[in-house]
Amino acid sequence: MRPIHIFILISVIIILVPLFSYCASNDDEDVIVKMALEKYTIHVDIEQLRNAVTESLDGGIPFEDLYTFISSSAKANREIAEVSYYLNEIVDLRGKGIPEEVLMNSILEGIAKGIPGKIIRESISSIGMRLGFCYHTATNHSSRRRGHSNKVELLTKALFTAMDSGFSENDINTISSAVQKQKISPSFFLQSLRTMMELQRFELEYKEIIWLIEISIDKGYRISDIRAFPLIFSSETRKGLNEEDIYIRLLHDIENDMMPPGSFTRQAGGGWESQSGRESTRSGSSGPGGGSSSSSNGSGKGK
Amino acid sequence: MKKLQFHDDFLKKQLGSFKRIKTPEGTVKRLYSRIKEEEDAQHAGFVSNFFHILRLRREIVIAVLATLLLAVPLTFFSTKSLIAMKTGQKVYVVRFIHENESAQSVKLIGDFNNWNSDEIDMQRISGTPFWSTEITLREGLYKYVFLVDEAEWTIDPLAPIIVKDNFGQQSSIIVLLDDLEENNNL
Repeated sequence: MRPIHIFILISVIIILVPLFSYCASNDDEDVIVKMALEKYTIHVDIEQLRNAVTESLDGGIPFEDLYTFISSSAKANREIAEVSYYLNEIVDLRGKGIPEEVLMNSILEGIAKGIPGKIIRESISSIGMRLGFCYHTATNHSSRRRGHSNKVELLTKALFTAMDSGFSENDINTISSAVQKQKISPSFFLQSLRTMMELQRFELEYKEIIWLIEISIDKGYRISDIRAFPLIFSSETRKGLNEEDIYIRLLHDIENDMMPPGSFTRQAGGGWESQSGRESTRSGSSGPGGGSSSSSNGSGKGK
Repeated sequence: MKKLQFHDDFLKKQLGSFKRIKTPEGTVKRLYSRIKEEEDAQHAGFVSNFFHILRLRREIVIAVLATLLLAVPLTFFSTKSLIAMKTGQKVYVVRFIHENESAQSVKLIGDFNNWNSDEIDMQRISGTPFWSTEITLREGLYKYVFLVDEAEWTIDPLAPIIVKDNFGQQSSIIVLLDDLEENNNL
């Protein structure tokens, strides 16, 4: 075999591989269009549907995700123009490097719950903006270790959920700064956000929750200590104590180092209790936003 | 037969006309050993023959290697059906419970099944008002609701987090994270 033959052989293979791939992608397109047409019970413009599918596949939306999205939209008989709009927004977000999973799930949630297309459309831009902020914040906490992209995606979703539950950008920035100041991991940030959201079950204001978490991070509390806060509240309220009193006592103990980090111990009954908090009788701490060197910006929306 | 005989006679005559030369000592032995070597080479396994050919045809080896080097990455990056492998994610088995005495059907719908109401039917625990199902989920945060009798969207009162969705309705959140993973410095 002469070198020219080898060159021809390699050239043919180089041409054939993308060609096969292109043919495979055309198959993907046909599969989705066929499936959608089977599900729609209203008349749809096939060309418009095909274009939407092709553009989405070209835009990088994975086949499985697109299949699911189109399937749900077709089952709910959503107009092709409406579906195309959603897909364009998803491709646009993906183009900016922001994980599109949250937006896709939000739209699917709206479709499943029967929310009118007009309302879903209106909410998409605000979802996109919030996602942009969350992704930017999450990447600020990322490291280049293995599984980094998964962590960023997870943190983005947690931040977005925290904002869904009512925390503002300022609240998120406050906790983000506290975590960065202590040079602790994205996992810590993630667990802090989880605790913040869980504390909302109790009669506490957003700014109170932020203050409690921020000061705990500043004082060097471990995440297992912070994760115990919701359990402390639920066990103490079961005893008939007022949530505001529990909050003031807990904050007072943390601020005055009466509760050293790692002092929460698991009780035999399964609950958690602070060793020092149990003995503390004093109350009347300065509370959020006042009397401490580390002050919250107090931007949380009161309930 | 006649023809063969003639042929043999002709050969005999021709050979008789050649001048006889004495062969060097051991020539016949060497000749036999060489024939044996060639026979052994022919009977050797496929692998040795294969490598023998490779040694002789270096161009083929280079061509195959070059093709593989180019084709494998191209195929890998262009194939869309490859499953995205997410490394380092833990898997959890989660049981959802919902209490509803009068319901005829309860479905579990959320991020984990792309809000598809056809996928997860909850089963009534016989003799109780409780509906239950168990699913496997990866590490993460999941928004979900119960769909009662195909019409009523109900949040999970047992969920530690309840949020408003982007359209003004409520949803429950389940968080699956490893509590032991903590305080890793950046």
